[in-house]
Amino acid sequence: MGNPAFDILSILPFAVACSFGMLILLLEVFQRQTASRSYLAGIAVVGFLLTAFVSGSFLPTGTARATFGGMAWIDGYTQIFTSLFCLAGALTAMIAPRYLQEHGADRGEFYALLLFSVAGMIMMVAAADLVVFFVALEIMSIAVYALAAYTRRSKLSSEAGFKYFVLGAFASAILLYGIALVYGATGTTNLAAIGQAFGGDVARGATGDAAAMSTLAQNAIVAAARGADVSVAAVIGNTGAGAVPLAILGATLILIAFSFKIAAVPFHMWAPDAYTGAPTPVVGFMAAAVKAAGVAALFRVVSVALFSDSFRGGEYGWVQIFFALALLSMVVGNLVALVQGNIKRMLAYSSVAHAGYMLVAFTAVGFRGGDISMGSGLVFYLFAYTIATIGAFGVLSWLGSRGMPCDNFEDLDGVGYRYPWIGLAMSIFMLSAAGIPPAAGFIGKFLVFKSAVAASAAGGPGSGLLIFLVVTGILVSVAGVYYYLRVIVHLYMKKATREVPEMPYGAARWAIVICAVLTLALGVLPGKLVNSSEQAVGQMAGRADGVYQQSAEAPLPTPGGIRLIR
Amino acid sequence: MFGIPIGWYLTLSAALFVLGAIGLVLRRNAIVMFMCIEIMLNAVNLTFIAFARYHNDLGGHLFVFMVIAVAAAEAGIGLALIVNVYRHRRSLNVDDINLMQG
Repeated sequence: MGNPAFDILSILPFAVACSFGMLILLLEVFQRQTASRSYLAGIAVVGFLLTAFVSGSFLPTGTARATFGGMAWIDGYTQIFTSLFCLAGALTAMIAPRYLQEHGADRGEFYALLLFSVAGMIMMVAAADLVVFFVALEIMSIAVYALAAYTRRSKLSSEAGFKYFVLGAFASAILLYGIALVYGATGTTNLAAIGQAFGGDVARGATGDAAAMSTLAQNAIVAAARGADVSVAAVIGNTGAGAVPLAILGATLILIAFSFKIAAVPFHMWAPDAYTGAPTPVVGFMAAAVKAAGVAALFRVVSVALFSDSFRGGEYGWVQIFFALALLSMVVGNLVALVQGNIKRMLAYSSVAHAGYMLVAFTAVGFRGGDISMGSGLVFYLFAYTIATIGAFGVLSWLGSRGMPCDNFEDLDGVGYRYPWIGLAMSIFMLSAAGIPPAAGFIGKFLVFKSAVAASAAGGPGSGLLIFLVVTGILVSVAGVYYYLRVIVHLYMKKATREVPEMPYGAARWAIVICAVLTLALGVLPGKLVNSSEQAVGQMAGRADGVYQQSAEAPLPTPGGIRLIR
Repeated sequence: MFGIPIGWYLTLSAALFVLGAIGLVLRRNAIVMFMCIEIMLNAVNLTFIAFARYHNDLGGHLFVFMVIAVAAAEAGIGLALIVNVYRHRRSLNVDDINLMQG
């Protein structure tokens, strides 16, 4: 078995986030009804920073370790996303207090739920087994359902929470059925083992290579020897031939469930309603961190379990699925966002479009036969997207917590002159989302599209389609510039129609400043983060093709419990 | 499998899952929709148990316990959200929950 000391150490980030959540719940009990809860936000920020610190410094970097008998992986990929989720959580905790006070929902549970959902995200990206992955996904989702309905006296918020919950629970059921079918086809829920089974047994079953004795066939024989119905063994198990449709159906259901979570067209219908109704700081968190966690976990699941050998493309068509999802999301998201009058709704459709850009990276990886180094642009993209999105919703919540709702474009009229720095920050976030230099979004988009072009350069069938995807992506993102610039037009070129009460800036201002500075810094000096993302993706553990070994600085220690299949 | 082939278990659970999904789309009462989700989760549990028995592997049984625990947590939060919606609307018909559109 593994090293118990390392096991405990490896879940320390998760434990720190959970402990701070529980600490805040306890402190909340001793609060007077009318007392301000702002200091709980401070404790939450400390919790997030400590979580990131623990993840970065207590765990060895440059190595990949399996913990708890192969249930989770602690590697560079887990660590870089831990820091991203903690950053997103801390910024949300800084933005939220004044908004919650103004909307009569100043309760400490908000920060506890934030910490719990971030803990779920960390575990979700670290998951090496579908059991852990599922439980972590639910830890995250259930906390966010509650956050979406947090201002419960608002009709809109309760509706948003309900809709988000129904669609989210539906997606969870689909995900589970997919996992069950994959488990049935492969006999395991371990991601690396599934990858091996898909790469070996299932593929051989598909090509009718009966000589290749699969574990499934062995299982079938064992089952027959135990007196089970041999004809059933023929249905499911023999040489894996019957397992192929099961595995394909299961993996497809898993992909559909992920598409729900990251709001990719055609599974995006919940997003506009949930984003419009939920409290604005929560929307920033949902649009940025929850989507980033979904994409990051999908990338790990796909890279380790699905993109192995022949299962990744061509024969079973994963590339085509990602291609269709990416194309639809980019086109529909950008075009529908053009006609929205509500900024939160516009940003919701824009986040659908961003899911499309992210899926372009998946398509490129799949096209290059699962060469995941193609996906390093994705990590950078997620950082740029998360920071700019939280910043944009931070500006909206800050304006919305000054006695005037900030939902429609008209509510931004003249804000650029009245609050020059806030206007400048909002402009930076919009430029980043539109992908205009020098903001970070430009580099992210550039890296993702570059990986797709590089993948198509290798030639082969379908490389023209990949170029088509990139060209379409660039064209619709040019169309998208219209609605991002519309925000800037309202900030600077319209006269203010009403008086806004003066209020202290509070911690929200610092969160907005941090987002703006980071967006510019990542846009001007992207080198360090680009290197870290390449390293993080290269160090992803459990891969079947040895990509890890080429790019890691330190050799892979032998993990206890399970074998890391290379 | 005590003489009953695994195919029957899989057919039953697939039928339950599809019934749950259809119910979720067609029924208009929030509580009934929630029950449909629970039916889907239990169909999944049946699938897991059947495959676990078939593969002679404990992993599937373990997964079922996790699903049951998570379903309980989801029921808690889901019913709270439904109560909250009911307080605002005095109705559980999801067609009435239509403040946001477009």
